[in-house]
Amino acid sequence: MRRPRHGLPFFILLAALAGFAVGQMSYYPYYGKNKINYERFPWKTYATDHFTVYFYAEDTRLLQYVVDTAESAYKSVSTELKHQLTEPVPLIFYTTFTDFEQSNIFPVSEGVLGVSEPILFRIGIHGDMPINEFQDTMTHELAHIFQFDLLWGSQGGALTAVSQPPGWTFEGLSEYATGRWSSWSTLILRDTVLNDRIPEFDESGDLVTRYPLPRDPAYDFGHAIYEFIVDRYGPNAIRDFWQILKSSGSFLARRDPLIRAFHQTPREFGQEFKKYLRARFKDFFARENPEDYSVPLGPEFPINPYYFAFSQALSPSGEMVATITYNALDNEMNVVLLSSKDGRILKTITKRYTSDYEYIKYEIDPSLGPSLAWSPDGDRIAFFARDGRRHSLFIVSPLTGETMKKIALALDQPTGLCFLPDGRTLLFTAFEKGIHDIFALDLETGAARNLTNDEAFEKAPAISPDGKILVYSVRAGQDDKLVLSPLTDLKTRTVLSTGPGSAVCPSFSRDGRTLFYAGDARGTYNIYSLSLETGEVRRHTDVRTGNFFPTALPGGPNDILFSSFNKGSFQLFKGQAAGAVETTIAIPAGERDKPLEKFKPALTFELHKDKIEERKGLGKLYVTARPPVDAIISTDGSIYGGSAIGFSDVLANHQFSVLAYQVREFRSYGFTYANLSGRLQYAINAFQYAIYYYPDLYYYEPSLWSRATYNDAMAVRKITGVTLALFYPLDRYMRLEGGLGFYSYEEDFNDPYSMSSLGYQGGYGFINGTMLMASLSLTGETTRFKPYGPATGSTFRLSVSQSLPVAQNFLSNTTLEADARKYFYLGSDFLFALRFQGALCAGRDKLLSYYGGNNQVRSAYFYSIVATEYWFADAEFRFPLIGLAQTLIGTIGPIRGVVFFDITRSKYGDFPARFYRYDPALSTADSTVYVSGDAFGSFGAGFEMFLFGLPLHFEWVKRLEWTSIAKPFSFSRIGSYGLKFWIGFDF
Amino acid sequence: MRRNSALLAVIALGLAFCSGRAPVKVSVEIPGSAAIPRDTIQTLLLAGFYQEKPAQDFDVDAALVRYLLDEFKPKIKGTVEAAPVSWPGPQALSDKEFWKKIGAGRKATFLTGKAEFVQETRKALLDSGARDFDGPFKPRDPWTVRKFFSLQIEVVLIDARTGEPVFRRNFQETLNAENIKQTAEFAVFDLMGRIKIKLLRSLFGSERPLDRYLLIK
Amino acid sequence: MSNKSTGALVAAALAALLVAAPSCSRAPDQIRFGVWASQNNLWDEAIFRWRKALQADPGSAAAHNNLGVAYEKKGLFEDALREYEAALKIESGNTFVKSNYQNCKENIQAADKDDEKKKAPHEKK
Repeated sequence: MRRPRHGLPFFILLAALAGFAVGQMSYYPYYGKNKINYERFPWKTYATDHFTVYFYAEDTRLLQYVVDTAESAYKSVSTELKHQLTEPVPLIFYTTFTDFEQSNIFPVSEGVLGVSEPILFRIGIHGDMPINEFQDTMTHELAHIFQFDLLWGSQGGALTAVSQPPGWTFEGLSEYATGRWSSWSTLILRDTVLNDRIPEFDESGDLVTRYPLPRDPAYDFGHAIYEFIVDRYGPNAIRDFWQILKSSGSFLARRDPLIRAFHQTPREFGQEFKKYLRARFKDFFARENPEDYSVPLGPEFPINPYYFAFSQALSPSGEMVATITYNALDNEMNVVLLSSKDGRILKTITKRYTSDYEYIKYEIDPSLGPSLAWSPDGDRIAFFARDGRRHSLFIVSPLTGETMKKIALALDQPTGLCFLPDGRTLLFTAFEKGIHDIFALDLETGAARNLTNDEAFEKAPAISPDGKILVYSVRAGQDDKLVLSPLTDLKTRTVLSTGPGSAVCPSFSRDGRTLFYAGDARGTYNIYSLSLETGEVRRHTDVRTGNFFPTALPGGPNDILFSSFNKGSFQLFKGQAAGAVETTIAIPAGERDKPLEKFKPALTFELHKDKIEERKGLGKLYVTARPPVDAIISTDGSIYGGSAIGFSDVLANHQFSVLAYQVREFRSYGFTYANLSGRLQYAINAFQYAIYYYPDLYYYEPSLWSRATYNDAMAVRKITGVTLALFYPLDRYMRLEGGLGFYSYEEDFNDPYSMSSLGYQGGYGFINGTMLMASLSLTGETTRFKPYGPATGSTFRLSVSQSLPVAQNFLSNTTLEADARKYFYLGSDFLFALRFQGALCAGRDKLLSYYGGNNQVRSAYFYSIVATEYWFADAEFRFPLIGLAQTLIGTIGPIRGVVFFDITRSKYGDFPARFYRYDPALSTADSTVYVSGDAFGSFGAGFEMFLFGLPLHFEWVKRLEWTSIAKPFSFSRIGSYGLKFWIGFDF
Repeated sequence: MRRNSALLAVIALGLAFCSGRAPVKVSVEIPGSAAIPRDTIQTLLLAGFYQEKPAQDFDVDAALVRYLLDEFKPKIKGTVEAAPVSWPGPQALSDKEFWKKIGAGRKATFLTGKAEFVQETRKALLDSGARDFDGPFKPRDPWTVRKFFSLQIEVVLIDARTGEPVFRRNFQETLNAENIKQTAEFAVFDLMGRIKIKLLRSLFGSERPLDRYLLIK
Repeated sequence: MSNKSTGALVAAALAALLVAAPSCSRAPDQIRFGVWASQNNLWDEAIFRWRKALQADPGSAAAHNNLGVAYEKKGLFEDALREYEAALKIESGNTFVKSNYQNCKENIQAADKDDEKKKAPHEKK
């Protein structure tokens, strides 16, 4: 991937669509959130020498960009690696990021610029970025394709790969292939080296770091490693290294690739690499640390649990600052208020774990401008947050934290907020159909107006205190230049920064006479000021890493608040920096439509519009994933094992899967076709399932209890059928599901001969017959998950199924089902979890439900409760015990404790809704005594630990019984605590 | 069977006791014999390779010199330069006076020799047994086409002061590329990658892993 | 075989093992330590230990063989051959020593072939 994710994870809808394909779900038994395909894209293709471009944009200028950058990338990567690909690369271009998120091929989250995958060598990329960054992303992803080809030989070769080299070998080479260092990557690298936090190599050659880094070191340090390799061993050494990586991919490989390639152990190689990096940045050692002239404010992880300060907004008084920060305890981004006097975090003004929006939008790249703004009247703080397909502007009260207003936007990637002095209009930048402009949003009407409407990439608008002058950055070639325009005429531009390097993050002094900004003329971003009256340019800092977002504080003329990248994160600082005059410039007069340098790809091609083809039908199908293998153990010791294989078309809009699994000796098969191309999605499933359960013998022949064994009593239900399932997501959290299915049921005891030899005469009431059923359900899940399972939110599913009376011999029944769960997060991984689940089947041929054991009703055996109507409820208090523990068998954890309570009541057919239990204490040799009651349940405590990714549960369970459910507080405790073990995820 | 099982158990125990005496197989980096100690090379002049039949579409000599320049620069403390010569004929390789004249008394070593590069396109019919059915999956072509490349070079090191050869060895590598888009330039790069390992081993005695047995008893 | 005689055989074998086991498992400590050092790439230490082993037991084929490997690692091929030959004099049938010796000679001969090729073709006899 081009950039690592920093949004929330989400679950692929396919898991739910595949129905019984439990192996696809991250956590079972959850329903997942919805990935909504808001529109059906009219795909077209265009073939070049080395690519098949899939696109849908009407504007062929975008196709021209894609073709030019793709072929330029191919030329540079091919020449660098001395390698040719055999087949054209499928390149799938999405006009905007929110369109890219609708891809069925790639799991995309906020911050991802491009993706490549090793099965079919597909690249996915979107257009919401400047053209030079688009070129870098294209080169980066294409370099991955070359890596896959070098390593695994061909499309699909990765399916049989035994192992994979460390991440830095991939990401580092892709970054190296771009031939450039972004200012963000340079910042991370330089800060890490100068603070002596360079990641090290472990025994396996992987990069590890003891310190928090804003992104995976594989990217930036991988890039630096390749530059080191070329510097030390020559340019051919990269190719030689990859030849050795290729031959190191099997169990027969004898030595570490670093040893084979460079005759150095990972440790020795790492030490040489460190020396190289220190030498490279030695000129920066003598420069300032921001703490030389300023004090840190607010987030200071690990001193407090807040990590990173993503831009800031100053209150009108200047004594409070709002910033977006990451709360490490809650694993969430929040807007917090802090004191600019002493840096204390005062309060969090955004709601925790809200479902008002999915996540707050923030930018890693400071040049894109601030991610929040404080209104001039001091009563409103504005920020963008993800809300459905796109983003909405949220205006919250700093006093109460209440959301005062929400304005949905039809634009992509909004950022760079700036209130106009009247407080009624907000300026910001965003993409509109792939072009990045400055917009003005009327906060009363919610209407957004494009102020610049040109091909230039404008960023970070800043308004003068009198509201007349706008200063912003514009991308010119590889740099950002500061531009000044009258607010009423943005076509007239005065380019303020004409020297080398970039100038970003402009802001005005309180009197409007001075412009502050961050410039990298000295190789790092320092704070500068420009007097708009005299043209005097003053440099205020000479920092090692990078200073951004300078904001004038009330007080002295040199009092500033700014953000600095220091020790792996952005931190806020307040200080005095008088600085020194660097130069004096003559501010030129504005020029109408002044042209700025445009980035051009290395190669340009003539587009042949007659070669554009409409994409129709499925096209060819491909195997798309290595079959997963899953294993679960239940409380009765049964082992479940299964696998699945999938095929799809190149856009993954049409997916086929074949599933096979076995529990004990019972095998099940399934075939599914899913159409995911639109918002309404459907799947056709053909299957044969064999499920076993234990009928409660009290319901038909209590006298068999003392004679039948556990295996004798096993019953098997075999269902053969075809279903059509429809899925319509209402929003990210709720969806409607409908279905029509044809089923054939066969049920009997697993060993009918054994049961008849015990004297069983029959008449238990197994379901045997055919059924045509229609169903409708409403599913919703707002639950947020942590690594150990659900943490907060709620989940529900309500469904009704009606068998259609097609013929007399068809089964006839109506089933209602409900599943509701609620999680109350108390903080620090303590939580309450509640669940209610129930079902009712009425009609001539009632279907049986079976449950019990695991975390449903713990005092019952696994699937031993059989009913036509039932409900059960669980309440659990879950809490952390141990985070991670090093043991003889490896690292285990987290280990969590649980105190639980459950209760159930069930009814079988026309029998009364009671349970029966053989009581040995009351029984004698001549008479067997059974105790009965309305309901039973469990109470107890236990712990859960994770080993090799599987959640193991050890619980001490005591049985509870209610003679009458009308007296809920009158119950009996039966027997002693029994130890139970099971493997599975929490509900 | 039951009677002998105790005896078998004792024998197994005995084997287990003594198994700690088995020889240990190790992979040891063993140096070769260096033809020329690399520290003695003050200046290495890459004079290019004589080709009887130069390729029409691609300058093999320039590619070889470029490759060897990148390889030797990080490995030799002295300087490494490209110093192309005009070849009067193949006999120049053995002509001491020719090299003495070009060397002009410098304390340097010429790296030169002869090169022959061949590229061909070859076709064969695959014996695939049962024919693949036409269906939604990608069809296979019954013909296979490969590009064949061969590179043969004779590497000679010549003392620039005396014109005498101090090292001479032949290398040959071939490559059958499934990718018919493989270019001559990239093929030469791949072939030189293999030749380089042997060249450096014989020239500088670089180490390579070899298996040996260490005895415990 | 009767139960009694089987039992006696087992008891005798066990007794023999008990006597032999200490010496079985107590391979010369210096040699074993040297092998461990070589596996950690500490060849000078390994040479030091194996030389000590030879001082204690000049008839140790293992020490001679292992020194041969160490000298090969250091590029001292003449010394390596000498040690392998000494080991083979003590244990002429040891296939592992033979393998080491043969491989060592092949490695040297490959270098000799290079020396041959240094001469111009018309100078070869």
